[in-house]
Amino acid sequence: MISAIARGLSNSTLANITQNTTARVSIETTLKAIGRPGFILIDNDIDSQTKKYAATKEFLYQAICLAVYLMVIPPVFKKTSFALGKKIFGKTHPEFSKFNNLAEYLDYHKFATKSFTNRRATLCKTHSINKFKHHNLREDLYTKENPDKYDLIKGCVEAGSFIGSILGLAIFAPQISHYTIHPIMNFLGMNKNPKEKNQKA
Amino acid sequence: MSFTARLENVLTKLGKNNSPTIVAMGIATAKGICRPIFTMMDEHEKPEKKRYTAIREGLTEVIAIPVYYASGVVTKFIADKLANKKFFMDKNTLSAIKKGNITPQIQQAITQAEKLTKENLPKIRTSLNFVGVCVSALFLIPFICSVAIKPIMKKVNSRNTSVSDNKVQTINNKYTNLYNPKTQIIGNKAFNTFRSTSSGMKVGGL
Repeated sequence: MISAIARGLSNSTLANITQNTTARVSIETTLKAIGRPGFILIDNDIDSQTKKYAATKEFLYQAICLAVYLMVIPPVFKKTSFALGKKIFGKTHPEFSKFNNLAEYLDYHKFATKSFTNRRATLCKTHSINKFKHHNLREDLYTKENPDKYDLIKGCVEAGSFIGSILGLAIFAPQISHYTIHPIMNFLGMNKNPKEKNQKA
Repeated sequence: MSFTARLENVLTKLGKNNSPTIVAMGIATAKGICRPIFTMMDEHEKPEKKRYTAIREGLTEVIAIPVYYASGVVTKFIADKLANKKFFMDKNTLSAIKKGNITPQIQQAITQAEKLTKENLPKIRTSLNFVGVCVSALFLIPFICSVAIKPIMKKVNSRNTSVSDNKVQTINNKYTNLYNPKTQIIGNKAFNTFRSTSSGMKVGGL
C-alpha cells in the first residue's frame, strides 16, 4: 500500500504538474470552487435559502477567479517573463536562444523530466518524431540520462507565473468578481441575501 | 554581487525547486493585504459591515499563512519517510533480504532501488507538498477559521459596541443636562463662554 503511494507520488507527470505554478493554482482554485460551496451546503446550522445564496456566491467567485487567472497568466505573464529573461540573461546564457518560443521550452522540459526509457520511447512516437531537431536538443534528450533542464529559463517562467498569480488572484479577480457577481446573481434570481430579505419583509 | 547575479541565483533555485508552499504563502499574503483594502474602499457598503468583512478577510489570510507553512513542514517529514528504498523494491527482493540471501542480482536490485529513491525524493516532496497545500486550502483553513474567527470577531464587535455605547452615553448626558429645565442655565458650563480658567493670553495670541 505505502509502496504504491510512494511510487504514485514519484510519477513524473504528477511531478511536472506540481512544479508548474499555473497548473497548481488552477487545480487549487477548481478544488475550492467545488469544495467550499459543498461545505456550505452540508452545514446544518444555516437555513436552506442562505445556504443556497452563499454557496452560489462562493462558487461564482472561485469560477471567476479561475477564468481571470487562466485568461491572464499563460498568455501575458509567462510569455513576458520568458522574453524578459531572454533580454536580461540572453547574452550570458545562450540556452535562451536554443528555443524558438516558450511553448517549445515547456515541451522540452516535459520530456526532460521523464525517465530515460520513457523519454526515448515517447521521442520515437510519430507525433514527436520531428521535435527538437536543432541545437542538439533531440540528441541530448535521446542520449543523456539526465539532460539539462535549463533551470534559469524555468525559473524565469515560474517567477512570471508567481507574480501573475498574485496580481490575478489578489487584485484583478476580486475587482472583476465585485462587478460581475451581482448581475449574475440577479440573472439567477438570487440577488438579495435571504437575511436582508427577511429583515425588509 | 550584482543585482543580475542575485536575480539569476534566485531564478535558478526557483527553476530547480518551485515549492507549492511558497507560492501559496505568497498569494495568501497578497490577498491578506489587498482584499481588506478593496473592501474598505467599497463606497456602497455600510462602514460597520465593511470593517467587519475586512477584518474577517484579513484574519482568514493571517490564519492561512502559518497553516500553509506547517503543511510544508509536515509533508516534507512524511516525504522523507516515504522515500525509503524498501518501497522501491519488488516482493522477491524484499523477502530475499529478510532471509539474508543476498546474491549479486539482489545486490544489484538494492543498488537500483537506492538510486530510484534518491532520484524520486524531490518528486515525492513536491507532490506531497502540493497535496498538503490542497488539503489545507480545502479543509484545514476553513475549519480553523470557523473555530477561531467567531470568538475573535465577537471580541472585536463587543469592543466596538462598548466604545460606541460610551460615546452615545456621554453625548446623551450632555444634552439631557442642556435641556433639563431643572438645570440653571447661567451655571451651565456649556453656555459659559468666558470661563475663569480660559482667561489670559495664550501662545499664538488665541
